[in-house]
Amino acid sequence: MKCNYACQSADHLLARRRFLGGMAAAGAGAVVGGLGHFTRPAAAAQLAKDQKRIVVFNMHGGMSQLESWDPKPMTDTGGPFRAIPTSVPGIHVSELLPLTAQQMQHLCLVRGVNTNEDEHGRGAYLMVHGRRQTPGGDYPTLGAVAAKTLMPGDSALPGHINVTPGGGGGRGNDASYLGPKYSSISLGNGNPPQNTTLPNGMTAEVDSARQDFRRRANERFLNRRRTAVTDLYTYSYEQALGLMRERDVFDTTKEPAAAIERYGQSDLGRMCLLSRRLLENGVSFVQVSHSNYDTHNENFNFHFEQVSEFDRSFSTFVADLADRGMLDSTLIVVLSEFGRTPNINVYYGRDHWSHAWSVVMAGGRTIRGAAYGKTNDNGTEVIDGQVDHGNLFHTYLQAVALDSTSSFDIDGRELPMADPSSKPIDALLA
Amino acid sequence: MRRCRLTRLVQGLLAVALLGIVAPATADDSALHTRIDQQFAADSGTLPIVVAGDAEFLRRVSLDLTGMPPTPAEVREFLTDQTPEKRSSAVDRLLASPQYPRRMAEFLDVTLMERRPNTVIPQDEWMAYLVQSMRANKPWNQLVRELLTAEGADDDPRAAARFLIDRGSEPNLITRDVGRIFFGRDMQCAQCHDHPLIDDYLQVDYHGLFAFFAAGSELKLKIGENERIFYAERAGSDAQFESVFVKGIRHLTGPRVLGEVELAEPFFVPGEEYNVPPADNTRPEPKFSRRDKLAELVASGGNRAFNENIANRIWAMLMGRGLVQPVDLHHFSNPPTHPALLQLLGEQIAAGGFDLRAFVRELALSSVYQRTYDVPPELLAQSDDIAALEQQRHELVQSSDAATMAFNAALDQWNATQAALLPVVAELDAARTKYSEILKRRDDARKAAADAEAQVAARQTVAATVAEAATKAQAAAAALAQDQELAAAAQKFVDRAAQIVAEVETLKAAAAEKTAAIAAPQAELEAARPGVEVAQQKTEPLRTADRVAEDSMNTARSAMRTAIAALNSQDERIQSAKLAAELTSARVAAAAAAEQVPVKTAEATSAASQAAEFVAVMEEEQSQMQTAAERLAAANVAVEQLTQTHLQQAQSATALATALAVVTNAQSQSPDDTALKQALDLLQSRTAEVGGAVQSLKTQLDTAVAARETATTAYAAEQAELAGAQFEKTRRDEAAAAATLAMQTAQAAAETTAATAESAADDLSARRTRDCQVAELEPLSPEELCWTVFRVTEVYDRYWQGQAAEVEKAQPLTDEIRNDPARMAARNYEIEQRTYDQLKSNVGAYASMFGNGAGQPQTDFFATADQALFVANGGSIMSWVAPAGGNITERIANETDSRKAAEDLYLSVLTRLPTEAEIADVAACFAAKPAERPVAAQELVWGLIASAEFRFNH
Repeated sequence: MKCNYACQSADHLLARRRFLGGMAAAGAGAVVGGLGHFTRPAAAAQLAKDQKRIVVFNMHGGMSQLESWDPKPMTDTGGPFRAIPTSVPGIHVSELLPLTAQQMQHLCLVRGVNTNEDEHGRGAYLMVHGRRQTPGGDYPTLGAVAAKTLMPGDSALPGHINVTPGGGGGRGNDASYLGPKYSSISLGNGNPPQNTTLPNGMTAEVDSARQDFRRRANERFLNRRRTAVTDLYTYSYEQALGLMRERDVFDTTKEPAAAIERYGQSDLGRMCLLSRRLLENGVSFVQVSHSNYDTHNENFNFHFEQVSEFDRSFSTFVADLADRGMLDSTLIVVLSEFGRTPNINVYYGRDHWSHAWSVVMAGGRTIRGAAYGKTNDNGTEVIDGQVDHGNLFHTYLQAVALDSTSSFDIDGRELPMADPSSKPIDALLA
Repeated sequence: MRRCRLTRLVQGLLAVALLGIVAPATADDSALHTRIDQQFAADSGTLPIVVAGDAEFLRRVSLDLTGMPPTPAEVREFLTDQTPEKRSSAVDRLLASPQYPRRMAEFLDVTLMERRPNTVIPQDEWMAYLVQSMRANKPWNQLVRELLTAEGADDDPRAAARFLIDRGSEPNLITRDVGRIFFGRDMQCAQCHDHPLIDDYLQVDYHGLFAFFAAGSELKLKIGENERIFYAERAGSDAQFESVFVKGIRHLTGPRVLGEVELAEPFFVPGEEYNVPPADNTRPEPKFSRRDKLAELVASGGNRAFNENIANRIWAMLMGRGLVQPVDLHHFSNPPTHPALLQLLGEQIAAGGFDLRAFVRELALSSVYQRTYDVPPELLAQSDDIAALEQQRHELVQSSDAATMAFNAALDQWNATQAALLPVVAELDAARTKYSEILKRRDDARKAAADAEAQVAARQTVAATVAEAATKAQAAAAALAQDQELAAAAQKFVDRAAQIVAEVETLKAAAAEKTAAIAAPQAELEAARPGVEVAQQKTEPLRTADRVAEDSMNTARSAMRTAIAALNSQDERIQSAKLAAELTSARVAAAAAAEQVPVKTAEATSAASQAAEFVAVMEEEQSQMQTAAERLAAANVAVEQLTQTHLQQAQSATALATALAVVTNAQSQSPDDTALKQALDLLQSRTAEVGGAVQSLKTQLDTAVAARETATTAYAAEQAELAGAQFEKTRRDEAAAAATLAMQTAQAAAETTAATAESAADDLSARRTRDCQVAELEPLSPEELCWTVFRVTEVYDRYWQGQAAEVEKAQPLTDEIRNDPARMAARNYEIEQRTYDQLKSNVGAYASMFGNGAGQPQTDFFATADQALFVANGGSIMSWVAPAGGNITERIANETDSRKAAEDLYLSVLTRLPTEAEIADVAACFAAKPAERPVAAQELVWGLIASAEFRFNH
């Protein structure tokens, strides 16, 4: 059951040597080697077709399943909102999702989620790691696994990107034993990665001169002895230059005004648009954060605002991916750390609730236009198709054609890609 | 002047290079560095160690011992130094520098904490602890003892508790990291089952280690207004476990150190385990601390895994890779590259009292450390006798098979003694449980009695107060005898006093009853105690037998490990030998193929010129053919025309003959017709005329036909000749094409064989590197990278001078201080500390950019675009590289002699002299920007800082 993802494998090394060799040859005449090819339309089209990607909408705080994917109108727990029909006969969602309802033919609702963890930190951990946090054990996030397994080796863009409202940028610490290469790069406020513009006052000509001198110095040193690490190091500079050239990918103002309008003039709208651009350009994993759903007070007012904003951006995003033929290769996941209690508290709020809530998937190998799993009439327990974070994590990986039961080989340590005591939800995979 | 010195120094370098293999100066044959080299040579067969040049050595050793490269002045001085012992002098100078303790502290910080966040102990406090430990050259075993036994009290010192407390005092995490960091073994999987891939990690290894920490936890104590976190240890108990895979085999383990038998612990009946029992807001103190015992055991130097782990880690720090790599994966499918050498190092570091400075010194003095980075040709040329190696391997397979069988038998034996022990331990546990229950009842009774006594005492206090009041009230009533109300009140006091006395009596009776109730459980307890002790005694012989069996198992395991490691080494040696042989034949093939290229090229050229030459011949033939064809065509035309004319004349002649006959006949019938006669005459004359012409034409036609035949023959001859020429041309063209193909094939073969040879050479180089024959390319740690940038941009030295001036201002340097080594050292340490404090925030920035994630091994190299962007466009590096204050950028911008500028640049940034090509490159860069020399200088300094040669220690 060994799965050869380790960088040290002979094939990988050989392919890399060839790749770098080819790049060096291409760069011999020109100033800079390689990496521009993703901007070529034909290559991009091929990429769109073959390369698998994942995008996660992380609804921080715990989105209410009752005000979104699994409404229970006219019951003691249902709250004030109605359920509306969708583009798929027989499936209803909350009236807060009118636009998303029209995209239901693409979606797969998972309504029987029970993760049995009502604390924010631990709930958030298990949803993105697919396992519970254990002392002495540490695991990579879904994003790191995706970057490691799905990212083409020669891409200039990072493979694992978090798009967050506010905050700074920089590299996260979420790849565990897969190594920092697969850690998330955060784009605070949707800004491009740090240090992607030349220092103040430096001209392109001076940059090019110093880079050329660096290359010549490297060439002389590498003539003495060439190793995998020197190749990796020198390549990282070419990758950096590629990233600077592709900086426009991060600039949503390059989009037509109509597109910006369709996604909604909100932070979330811009982040969704940015995510689409990133995915189109080959980024393997993007997480979009939407805050804050932790509605212990005034659950209904908050969800009215939040879910409505989400509805517009998300439905446009799904439709766009479908229109562009990217849905087959892109898995979309909407998750939270948990759902919210059926019981409505005295502050018109709902509290933490992990025993019967919903996660949504779309694209990749997932079945389309379906609702899997069932809660009882007032949503207090799962009565059919109960799944947990481990099942979901396996399923995400399977949905992008990975064997979630295989293992990474890290320095001779064999480490399972997903929790080996769990398994995928086969019924959700076409 | 400087030129002159540099010339001498280049000559010196050349001399070293020509000398090739340099034996390091050795004073004492028994010195560890000599023994290292001897053992290494014994392991390496015939392969030599080729020692690095001076510049390479100085950069390497400065980085390894001080965390930064030398200053340009140090390099110049070292290169010109002609004394034979200059390398050992340099090692001693660096070890005595104030940067050495800092570098070791940074190394230990990363090794011990792996960049975990400072949740409880601040980083400054922790670093201060490590730096002071290293300044005092605290032995490793003492340091480990402090780390493992710390509880977080101020005098521990508190910072030492960071190892435990900043891991949340979590037993599983601590067990895993103690296994990895102090024993070199990652046994995470052995938590639930024997290691599935790594046969020599048993579940018992994990649980044995876990038992030292299982009873530990985080403890929050209120100290005044503040809450403070401590590590609290309770009395430990035995753990039983069952594999998640092999159900049914249960094991019992108390604490055991890796590779050793279960610890014999003093026995305490329940309730007697503590000096200070656990209670609210109190740090408990068990009579027997397992952590103390662990620290004592490993510190004694008797545990091989512990000794070899630190030896291997220090080796890895200096050599760029461990003899076991990764350093936390010692196991027998990942054996040391040099098992005997690792054993020697482990023994010697323990024998030397775990003196890290002395150990580092010995490693740095060894030839192995000083080996060259460039792969010497002889290391790729040599191959051992494969057949002999295979023969030896056969024996090793047999011995490792035998050792494995012996281990399996010993393991079965031990499992059996464990199985015999378990029910007896269960009896003991039952006795203890029963005893604990009685103890609890007894304690409950004691508590009840004490509570009742307290009630009595409280009531008695009340009784005394009321009695006193009654007495006083009675006295008052007596004084005012008439006052009835007062008398009544006084009486009330008296009555109540009597009532309370009665109550006290009742309470006393109850208390006495409760006190009496202690006796029963107390007696029961005393009665039960022998039961516990007997049960305990009953386990003793079984425990002893168990330890004997375990010891045999451990011995067998160790023998198996050694045998398998030997087999593994042999396999590696065979692989290397095969690769060397392959390389040799690949090179022969490549050379042969390369030789074929000019031969085939010459043949192709010759064939092509022959084909080219024939083109003229062909043209001549074609022109002749053309001429013949034209002639034939002309002859054909002539024949055609004559035939036509002849035919016409013949037809005229026939018509004339017909007319003549008619006229002759007519004339014979009218003989005198003059007109007829005239006509007849005319006709006769015309007939004769035409007949002559026909005759003449006939002759001409015959001649023309003859000429045509000649032309036809000539044409046929030319045709044949052309066909021949065409054939020859085709032959020559084909020969040329074949020769070109052969040339291309030869070129392709040359390329393929060269690539095969190159790839084999790369692979063999990688093996030679792994086997420590040539120097490893070791990425600078984030700390080293930061200090190296500060050193070459002279930021470090500028800050140092600033701080030195501050210290001088506070306390001018006097001869008295200068002559006191201790005070001088303290002074330098102070300047170092101040400089460090000024710059340390940058180290943090480098650590977050270039360091691995928290809790992950920190030695794996990775290179990402964001790092490159940080170097390329980040504000800080660019500001340090800007020309200022006489730094390297400013110096080379002002130095118009390109050679001098290039020498300064390369000595400052890369610690070596430039080659001629590099000097020319520098000159060209300046020439391209004559008006902007500072800009060019900045490009050059940055270019070298961003180069691979800078990024690595080699």
